[in-house]
Amino acid sequence: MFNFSLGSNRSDVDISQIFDVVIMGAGPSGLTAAIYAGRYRLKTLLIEKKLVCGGQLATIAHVENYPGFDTTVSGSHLAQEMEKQAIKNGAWILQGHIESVNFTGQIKELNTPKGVIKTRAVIISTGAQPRMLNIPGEQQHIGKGVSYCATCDGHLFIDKTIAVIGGGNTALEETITLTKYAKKIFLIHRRNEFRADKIIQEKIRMIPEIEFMLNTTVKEIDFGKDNERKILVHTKGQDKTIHLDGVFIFVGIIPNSKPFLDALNLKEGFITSDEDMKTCIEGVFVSGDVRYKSLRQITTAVGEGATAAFSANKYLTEKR
Amino acid sequence: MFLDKEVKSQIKERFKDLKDDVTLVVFTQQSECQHCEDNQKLVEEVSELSDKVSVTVFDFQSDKEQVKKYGIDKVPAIAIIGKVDYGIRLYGIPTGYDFVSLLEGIRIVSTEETQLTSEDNKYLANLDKATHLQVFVSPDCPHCPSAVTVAQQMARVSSKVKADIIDSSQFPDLAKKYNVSGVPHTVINETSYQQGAAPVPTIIAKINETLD
Repeated sequence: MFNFSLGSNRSDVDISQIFDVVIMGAGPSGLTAAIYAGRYRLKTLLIEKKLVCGGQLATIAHVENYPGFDTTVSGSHLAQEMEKQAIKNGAWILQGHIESVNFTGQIKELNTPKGVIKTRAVIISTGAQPRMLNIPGEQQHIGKGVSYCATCDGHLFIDKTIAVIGGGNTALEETITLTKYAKKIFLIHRRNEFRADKIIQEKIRMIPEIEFMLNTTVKEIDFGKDNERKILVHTKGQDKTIHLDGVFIFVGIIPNSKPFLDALNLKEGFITSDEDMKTCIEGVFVSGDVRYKSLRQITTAVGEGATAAFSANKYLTEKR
Repeated sequence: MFLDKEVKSQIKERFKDLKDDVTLVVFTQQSECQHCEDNQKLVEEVSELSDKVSVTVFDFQSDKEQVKKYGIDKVPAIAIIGKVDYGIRLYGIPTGYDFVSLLEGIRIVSTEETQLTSEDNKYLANLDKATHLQVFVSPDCPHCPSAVTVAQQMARVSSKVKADIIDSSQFPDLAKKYNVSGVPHTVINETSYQQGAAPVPTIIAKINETLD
């Protein structure tokens, strides 16, 4: 049966007013912050650059470790439910992106193509995006056989041979998603064991179409001549060429923290905060994958979203 | 019935902002078209949610004149027509995130509201060569609606721009023809392409490169 996404609900909102809290990014963390802030009856604006909410969550075919849902929930469904809940609780959603910020005053200013948005408090939940391997041949073949999204592009590799590169939860889960389409998958990881949860490792070892290549690094992607696609790997002390049709790369993430480089404290590109999600600037909070921390999951993102909204509300109450 | 009560009421609410009447011209085929019948039913359900949206159905094989008039070359197809024909087409039943493309297409055609900057508009006003954008998408691709609306808005503003939105999972041979192995993927005048959900200035630069 079909499902239908409606895309983000653009709210009819006057952006010249001063908001209590503006949340940047509508992934699970931002959406949860919006639900909580709305329930505190704060004037809450959620800004999302894409036409659909959900962030990275929207690209996950099956979410298996979000409490209350077994194996049946898709990331896009979960994201849409969260979005509905945010709107129901009174948050406004605006499609747009932040060009730069000014956090120096009591009233924070966010520059967008639609104009300057003013707010008393800010929650940054801009998330992250897939990290590139940065090897020769990768950049020029994005969308030409190199992909970072299994649900988006998997159907273009029906009965094909592909490689998945990575060893974490995302890499292994997406490999399982891709077995729906590809006839053969090389799962390539540079270490001698996967980092993914043991339960996913147990599951993936039962799938005959997957060939495991541990202790293997990919040196080059060569999709050049005559549409002959191959990759060069280094395994068991020697170089080896593998002929295939596509490569899916899941080797971690890079935080979307660029607009905040000058204003906030960062560690390895991620924004640092205390356990209440407070950053180094009063009234500015951070939650989700863009925050410096050890575990990045939907569950930790929503928990931090709630905490960030709680802290923002506390800050605003004390200021009044 | 495809759309549940809650989804219908959400769409109804959004359709309150529509201005010009919109006709969804559906092209269908009796046999050898897996999703033609469902596509027609879906579009009819959507049209019931606003007085401003209506449906006209043509047969791809027998209504040759209409096929020619709307420039349809495959089914299922939907032409989103407003005051005039802005050249916006959807190929394949729009499910998942492709449904956003239908709703946004209706909104863009019916209202004059776009996210285009004055610079974009200036470029489009001066564009004097035919520009055919074919945006390959898939129902599970959350990045796709952004690429789709860029093409649809450009078509809405310029009579030179045509925007075909094509579900690559329903037209795999066409995707293969254009070497699409990742979506969104925008083919420009058959000869060049832009990968990913690129902003308007990037698409404009690519069009310039292609037209030169």
